[in-house]
Order: sequence, then structure tokens, then C-alpha cells
Amino acid sequence: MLEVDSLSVRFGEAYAVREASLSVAPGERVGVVGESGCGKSVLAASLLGLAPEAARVTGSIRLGGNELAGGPERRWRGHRGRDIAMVFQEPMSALNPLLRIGQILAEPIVLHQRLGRRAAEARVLSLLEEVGIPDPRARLSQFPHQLSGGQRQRVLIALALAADPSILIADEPTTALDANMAVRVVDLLVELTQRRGMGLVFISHDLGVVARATERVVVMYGGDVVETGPTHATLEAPRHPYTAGLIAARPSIARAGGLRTRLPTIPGMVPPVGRRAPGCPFSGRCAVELPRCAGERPPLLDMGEGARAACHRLTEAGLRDEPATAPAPGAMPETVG
Amino acid sequence: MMRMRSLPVNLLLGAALVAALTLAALLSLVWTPHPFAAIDVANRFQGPSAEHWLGTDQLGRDVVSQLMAGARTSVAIAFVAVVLGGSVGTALGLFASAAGDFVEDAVMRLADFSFAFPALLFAIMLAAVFGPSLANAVVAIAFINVPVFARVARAAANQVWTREFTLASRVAGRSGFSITVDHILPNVAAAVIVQATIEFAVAILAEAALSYLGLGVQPPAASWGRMLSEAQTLLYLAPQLAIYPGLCIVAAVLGFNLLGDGLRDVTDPRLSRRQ
Repeated sequence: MLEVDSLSVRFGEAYAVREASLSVAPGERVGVVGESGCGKSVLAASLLGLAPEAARVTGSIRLGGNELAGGPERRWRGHRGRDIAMVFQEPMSALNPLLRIGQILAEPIVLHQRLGRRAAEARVLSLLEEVGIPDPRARLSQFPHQLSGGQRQRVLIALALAADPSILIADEPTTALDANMAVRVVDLLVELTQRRGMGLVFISHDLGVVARATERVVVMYGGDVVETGPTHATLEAPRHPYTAGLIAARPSIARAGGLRTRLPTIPGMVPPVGRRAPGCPFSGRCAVELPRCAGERPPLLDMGEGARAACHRLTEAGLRDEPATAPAPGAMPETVG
Repeated sequence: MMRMRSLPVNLLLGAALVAALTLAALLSLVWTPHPFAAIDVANRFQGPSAEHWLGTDQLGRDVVSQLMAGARTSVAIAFVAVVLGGSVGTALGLFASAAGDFVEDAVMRLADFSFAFPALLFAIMLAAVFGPSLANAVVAIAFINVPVFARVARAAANQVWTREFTLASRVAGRSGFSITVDHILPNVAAAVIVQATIEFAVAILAEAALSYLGLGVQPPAASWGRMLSEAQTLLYLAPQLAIYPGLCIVAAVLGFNLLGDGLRDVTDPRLSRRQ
């Protein structure tokens, strides 16, 4: 069980993450989405106590009832791998090119479970089997460069699972893979979380992948959580204009008008850390902005059915139950997933 | 096969010179044409002959035998000094890189400081305080090597630390120092070995210089540096006595430098692409 309460990550005066809250129950799969620079990866690093040294982390991170935020490195080390583990984005750079697959996978096992060589090898073999790598015994003596991209990603997943963590964080685990392989890796992660009763935090900018992988979704923008709720309900009827914009910006072959229509985009760029408005982080890019948006931060409102959204428009009379519209006219989001 | 064909010329030439030097040094342990320290005043200043291939010196000692024994001294001192200084320096550099922050700064500034201190001056100081000896020569040459290796190891290690597998290892729950042993060290080994080869050349030169000044190995042990200094006063009478050890020093230093350059070309893909 992972509970994050009003977690902020600050670099000097500037926020990379502002008062983010998140909870992941055993067996639950939570997606974190947002475009580059919105704070996803800093959030993920903070959950492992690995935020950059210059960062100041405040708020609460509870893992199985233990408060870890602000704790010493030594305390974090006891939990990393065993209670909370991470699957990395780039399988090539996340595997030491000079070590054999068997050696790489034995590392966390030997560290946390203090098994002998023989027992550790048996454990490595069963892990490789669990993540669906064919002929696991032959892999033990191979080097990372001898595996295909999909196999390397599976090895990374096996590495994260090695010490039986209760929470798995997957940081863009499918970016380095082609679409077909991405779907298979996502399905594998879903299957593993279900079988092991493990919580999954799935970080991605790809809404299609998130829709397939998760039950709940957290949408981040400019360091803020702008919307959260059940994945399918949220992606079908987004309440926050940013979520709506993200959904509208997905390329789709089935989109009306075929290939000749231009892909809708959200105008502008994510404001860099340190140059963000004190109010809603999306102000300045938002198509339905109100005068008070730039100066006054919208609270995360409870929208019922586990959904929450932070937008001033939601407090305006009559707008509360209406889905947000996409910024580009004529580009309403279609069903996702 | 591809690798074999593309081995650079400098690597092959360097390896050949180093192999010849090492063979001569090893051979001198079991066999030299004559006992290298045997004095035979009746036969001094002889020219090359079947008996004495490169002649004899002012005390009638066989030059070839002395050169072989000198090779042994050079290689032994250089080896011990480079291994000693290299291990300490590499450990310091890796430690600095893993610790980061002010510890890293402190270690590296210390390395800069000792780097700025003239190496030979330090050796002379050691000899003045503790008396000239083989051990002091080794310590002095090892000391010169420490900051060099500290810098190389730390720079290479910092580069490895930016790669994601070190983060993956931290996520698995390991400490910086245990990651250093298992992940950083193997990845900096190539850079350290290349540096060691080049430092071998520096060490051979330093040993020759110390022995020339009378601060290295003491008689009757043979050394190229001392052969040079003894030949100095006889330069007009028997110039070949200075030329032979001089050529040996040049060949040894050149050999190790070529080998080091060649190894770097092979191990660093960014450099080898140029050819």
C-alpha cells in the first residue's frame, strides 16, 4: 500500500511537483499521465527517495504504513527493491553492458534474500519464465546486447520483480518499444500485478497504453495533479480542459476527415519549472480560461465516483456536470482504449 | 577476425617492444651471457665480439648482461610502482566519484596539489630523508602515479554514474560503494588499464632518472640510469657505453607509449572511428 499525501518537490522557490496526492492499493493499477516536463518523472524518483539532491521534498510518502519522506538514505535503501521497485524506460542503458543477464538478475536477490548461488540461480530462472522469456537457461550467460528490445524490457521487469516488491513503478516502460511489443509488455505488467497482488504506478504520456494498463489515472500538468479518476470514465468524459486537450491531440486513423485534417494540438508549451503562474498551471494555454485562473489556484474538487478535478470552470454554475470541451473546435475526444 | 585485421600499427609495434623488454627482463633472471656484475679489468673497453656481443665497460663487465639486468630492474620497479600507485589512485578516484559533493572536491583538490609538486623533487626529498634505496624509489614513483590515476578513474566513473543501470542498482537497494565495486569498476577498467600502460613508460623514465642521480638502486644491482651516469665521464673515450642504455630507455618508453595509445584506440570507440 502506497500513500502519498500533498507531496511537493521544490528546487529553490520553484515547484517541480506541487501538493500531489496519490494512493495505490495492493493489486491496484494507477496511471500517471502528462506531457514532458509536467513532473511525472520527478514524482516517480521521489517515490523511491531518489529525487535530485538539489530538490527539497515535503509532504508524506507512506509505504506499508512506514513514513519515508524526508527519511535518511539508509532507511530508503532498506525499502528499495524489496517494497518498491522500478521498471526503467531505456532497457539498453538500464542494464550494465558488461554483466551477464544471470549476474544482473542475481544482484537484488542476493542483496535482499541472502540466498546461495544455486538457490539464486533457480530464482532467476523462475523470474525469467514469469516474464515470458523463452529458453531462460540460455539467457543466463548472455549479455544485454544479445537480447532483442522486447526481451531486454522483460529482463528489466524481472529485475524489478526480483525481490518481490509490493509496489512497482513503471516509468514509460514502453517508449523504447514498437506498438506491438508495447501492448505485450503492458499486458504482461497487468498480468503480473494481478497474479502477485502488487500495486502498479504506470507513468506514460501515451493515453492508449495507459487506458490499457490502468484502472485509475492521475493527470499531471506543470507539477500539479489537475485531474484524477477511474481511467475509462476520465478518458471518455474529461473534466479538465488539459485532459480534454491531451485526448484530442491523439493521432487516429479513424478520425473523421481522414489524413487530410490537421492533428489538433494544445497551443504553447509547458511552462518551465520556475516560470509557472501562481494559479492554475494550465492558464495561458487554456482555451476556456477565466479571468481568475492565472492568479488563483483551483482546488481539486470531488466530482463523485472517485473522480476529482482542479478547474475553476467546475465551480461555475451549470458547468459542473458537463464534460470539458477540447480547445480545438470540432475535435471532440473519441472513445479511448 | 574483423578485430584482428583492424588492430592499429602502433599497438602491434608497442606490444612487440614491450614483449622484447619483458622477455629480456625475465631471461636475465635465469641466464645472462656473463654474470652481469663480474669485473674483469684486463678485458675492459672491448669492442663487440663473439665473447662480448656489445663489448665491455670500464671495469670489463659485459654490456649485454648489464642491459638485461637493467631491464629487469626497470620493469620490476615500474611494475610495483604503477600497481601500487594505480590501485591507490583508482580507489581514491572511485571513492571521490561515489561520495560526490565536498568529499569529491576535497579528494580531487588534494590530487591537484600533489600533481603540482615536482615528482623528482619529491623523490630527492625522500632519498635525503630516508637514504637512497630501491624501496624509496618505488614509493616515490608510486606517489607520482596516485593523482594521475585518481583523475582518470574519477572522470571515467562520473561518466558511468550517469548511465541508468547505476540508478537501477540504487533502486534495487544498493549503496553507492557496493555499486562502485560491481558496476563502476568493470566499466572504468579499460580507461585505467590504458593509463597504466602509459604510466609504465613514465615510471621507467623516472627510475632511470633516479638511478642516474644515484637515488635509485644501489650497486652492484644494474640499472640503465646508473650505466648512463657511469658512462658520462667516459663519453669521449667510449661513447657506446652511454648510447646502449640510452637506446634501451628510448625503446622501452616508446614501446609502452605506443602500446598505451594503441590500446586506447581499440578500447575507445570514439577514437577508433577516425581511421
